[in-house]
Amino acid sequence: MGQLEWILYLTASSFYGISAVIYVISVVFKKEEWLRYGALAAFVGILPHSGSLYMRWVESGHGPYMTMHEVFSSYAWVSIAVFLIVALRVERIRLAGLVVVPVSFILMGVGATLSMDIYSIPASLSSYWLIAHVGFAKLTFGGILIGTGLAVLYLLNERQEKGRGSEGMKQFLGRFPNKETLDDLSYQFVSAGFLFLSVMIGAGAIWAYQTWGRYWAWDPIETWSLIAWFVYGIYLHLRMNAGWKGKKAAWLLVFAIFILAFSTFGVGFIYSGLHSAYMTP
Amino acid sequence: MILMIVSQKTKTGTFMDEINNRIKMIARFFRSRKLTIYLLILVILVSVLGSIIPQEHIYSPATLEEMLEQSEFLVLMQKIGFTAIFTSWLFFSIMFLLYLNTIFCTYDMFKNTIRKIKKGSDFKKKDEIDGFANHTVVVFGTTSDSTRDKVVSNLKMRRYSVEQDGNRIAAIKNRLGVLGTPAFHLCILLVLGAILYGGVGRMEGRLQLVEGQTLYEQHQDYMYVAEGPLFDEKHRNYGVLLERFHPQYEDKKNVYRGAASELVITDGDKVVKRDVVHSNHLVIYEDVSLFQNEYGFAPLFLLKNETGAVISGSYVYAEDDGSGRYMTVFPVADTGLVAQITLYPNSSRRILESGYDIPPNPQVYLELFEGGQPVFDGVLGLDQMVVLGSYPDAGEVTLGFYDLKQWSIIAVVIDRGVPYIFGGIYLAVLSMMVMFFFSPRHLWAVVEEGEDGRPVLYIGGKSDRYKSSFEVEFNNLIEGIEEAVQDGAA
Repeated sequence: MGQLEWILYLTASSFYGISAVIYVISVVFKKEEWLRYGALAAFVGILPHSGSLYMRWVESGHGPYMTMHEVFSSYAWVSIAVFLIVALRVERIRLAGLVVVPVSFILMGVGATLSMDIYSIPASLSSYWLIAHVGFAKLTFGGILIGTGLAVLYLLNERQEKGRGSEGMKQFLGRFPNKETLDDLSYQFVSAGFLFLSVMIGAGAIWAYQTWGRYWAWDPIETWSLIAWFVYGIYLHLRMNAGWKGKKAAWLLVFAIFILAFSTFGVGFIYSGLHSAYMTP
Repeated sequence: MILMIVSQKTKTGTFMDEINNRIKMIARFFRSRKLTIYLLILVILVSVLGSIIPQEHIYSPATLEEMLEQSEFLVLMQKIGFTAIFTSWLFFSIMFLLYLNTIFCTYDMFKNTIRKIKKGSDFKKKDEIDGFANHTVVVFGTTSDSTRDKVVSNLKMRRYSVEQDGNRIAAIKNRLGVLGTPAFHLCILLVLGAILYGGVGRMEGRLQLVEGQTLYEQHQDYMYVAEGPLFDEKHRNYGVLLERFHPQYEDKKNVYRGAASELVITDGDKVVKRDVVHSNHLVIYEDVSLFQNEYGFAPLFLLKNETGAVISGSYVYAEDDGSGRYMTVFPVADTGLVAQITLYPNSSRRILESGYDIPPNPQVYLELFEGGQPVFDGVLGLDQMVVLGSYPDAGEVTLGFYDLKQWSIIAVVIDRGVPYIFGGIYLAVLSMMVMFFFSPRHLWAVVEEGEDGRPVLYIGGKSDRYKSSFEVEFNNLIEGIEEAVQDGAA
């Protein structure tokens, strides 16, 4: 079963890689019709990826959140899944795949370098709060990644308008939503991501109290998730009260995704704490 | 005289004006959104420092001491309080300012929100409608009354509440969505206030109980206790009996829960609660929460005289050294001896007459020291003893291993802020959903007869948030109205 799971994982990673290449080619060479193939490749990839995650879930008896390999794999899955679902309904955001798919491919690549050993879930993690906490963590990353992707597209658009790109690129980007729409859509996704992040932090605090008798202990992962929450809180305040739209807001989102990525993936590697004690590399 | 009185009144008036001006200045400072951003940035910076610089509450005292010996930078950080940054005056000051800032901003938000809600609908002229980013003019081929009705029904279909004044229409959706933002901030204030309220009166302690033992929720029974500055020794004095300990507990649904303790809580002579505490399942009685913590084995050592009468003895707490062995050190009554034991419990189980489960063949490796020098070492099984020697009045004294139970540490927390913190979190999430997903949308329309007698619709509107989604809805609305009017004409 382990070998089949690995084959499915590699297959999924390959299709995500192909999809990422297609997205890049479609933007660089202005092939709008290729975007459809990029989304199709991502969709084909998510099928073996789902199979791989399902097999692992059955064998381990728990969801994909115990080891760093599982974390990277499941975050990539949620990012692709949320992107495909939203892109199916809202065609305007399909170009955000230019950021979402390559990032997911990188996550899969990092996950492939980590141990695929299966660990059983300790008794202290047997709780429904785990589903809420981990589920919303993944939705947070997926939503904010799409929002950041749209922000990057905004910046590309802006660059074209300032005459720093070719006429062909300008025409290509002109077929997609205008800058104001990209900016607004990015805001929507980040707002949803902020809500999910708040639920994740709240669920974690309630669960921590039930398990350890304290809702907050400034554990490094807790601290960094709060830092990410404050950073996106600053984005929303600047947006709503200081008129930060467009370019400034987009650059802030590009900076903020690194904070979120570090708090999601990096902290567990660097710091020892309760979370990293459970998540084995 | 009159001149003096006039000049005194002027001075008082100037003084009061000065006070008012200062108060307004302070209020303006605290309600500033810029201040919010700066304070949030400060909180982020302090939090980053707190994650980079080793914090005292994360490391054991021994580990921290070792780290301090190796790093002068860390010694400096400790001197300026950065190794306990989250309980430092710097952090509390920033949070206090943020709290004040949030109070002022929330007050302003509620004031503006209530004004918006009370304002009701205003009707706009067609010139004003032209000023909106989302606006259009549609010329129809039917009568004005029918057109107006179709506009109104399309708006109602899209959940707008509509008001009419002659040929003018005003529509609004998610009117109460404006409450989302101030409500969310109010919840933040509630949560922070509850954290403070709970924190200053918080008590956290550890009761170490052997099976069958009762301890009380009072200061002297705790092996460890930490009390907030305003707790004021208000212990509840409930009795906590560890009836039985299960190292590998399965709940009623046969889900494995790890270590679990069956507890009986008494208030005076009355049993008020029986429950099993384990990971992810705390036991709550009134405002006292009990949690499963560490556990181990408690061998019983008795000192007996030559007639077999017990001189002294007790269950001792042996702790897991990480390899499945349980160790402890204890003084042996008044003999001057110190005993060090390593318990080797067996993993299989049997029920004794006493009703407690213990391994069938526990062995204790016993070492005795006198004045720091080893005087004995050997292995004792259950009901086995070692002769210590002859003592005045007691004769030949023996030390024996006679029973084995388990001990469990129950963490006890009294934190009155917890229900408000969690309630605040739930409400904050609900407020955010309102804030982000029920943003108010306004539409205004004027239907009038054009120069050729055909009805002309001037329609436009705005949304507080997510303008691109509103644009999509607006375009769909116009399409819907055009279709409805054409169908009506057909």
